[in-house]
Amino acid sequence: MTQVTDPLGGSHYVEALTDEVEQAASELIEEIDRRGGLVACIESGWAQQLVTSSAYRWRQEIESGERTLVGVNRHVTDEPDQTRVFQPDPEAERMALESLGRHRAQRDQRRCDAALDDLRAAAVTVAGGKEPGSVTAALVEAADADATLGEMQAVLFDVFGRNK
Amino acid sequence: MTAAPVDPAPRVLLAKSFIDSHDRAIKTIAMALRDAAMEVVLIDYEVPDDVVVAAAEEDAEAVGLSFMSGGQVATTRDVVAGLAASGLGDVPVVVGGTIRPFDVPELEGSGIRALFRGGEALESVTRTFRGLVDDRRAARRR
Repeated sequence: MTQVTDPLGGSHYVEALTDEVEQAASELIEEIDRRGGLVACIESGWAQQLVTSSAYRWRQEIESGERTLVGVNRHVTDEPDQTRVFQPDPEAERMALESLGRHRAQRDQRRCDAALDDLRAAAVTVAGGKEPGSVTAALVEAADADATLGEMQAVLFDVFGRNK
Repeated sequence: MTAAPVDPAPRVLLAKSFIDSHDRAIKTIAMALRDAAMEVVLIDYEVPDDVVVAAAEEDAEAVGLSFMSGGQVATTRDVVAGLAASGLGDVPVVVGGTIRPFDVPELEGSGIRALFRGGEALESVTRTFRGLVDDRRAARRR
């Protein structure tokens, strides 16, 4: 079986299933094109609605038994779940905050502030859209100046708004 | 003869953190509540207080919090406390999602009215929300 690229190639059953998937995918792609392309479909919410409807239908099919999911709605075991769930050390949060405090106290604050100002300037340029640009170099510079991820994000959120 | 007044559809606020992109469950629940003739407001919050503000602005009669990541106990406590502080202490809070076993006792003790840890029948979830809204309406009429 492993000696050839496509051992099931030519099998009517498998080829028919492949054709089915291909046709359904092509129809969906054509529909997206008719609606003005993927970006337009995301902006109108149509694409998300399609995903949501599919998730809802999937759930209904699981509940009705129309779709089989072994272990969920078929051949369900009554053995108690032995999975061990990782429990974070309750001290971890305090230790992380302490470490953050140390990091901020020990860095060159002036250099860090300047790097964050540069990041803001770069972000404003990109947000303005008047000239092509990227915030990547400014982010690297800010990270080198020991700015935290939160501080860099705060600048970007401030300029671009949050991702909704 | 006049027809008996029809109760308006329950208004349910469903919320998840904006930073958690797992929206399959919350949207599935939103669809189920909608199909069960409820009005659903769906938001992504940045801080727990966003949920409280939205609950007030939208006249929510029940709040559902969906969690697929951490911070569940702290966020839930903040929302419950925030609702109480805003005079909305009678708005029932329901929590659902991937809930770690050791968080269950704390969540159940946080003032929420129902906890769904995944796999619950949609009908049971919608019945829970409707029951909580009906109870609240009945209490407010007294």
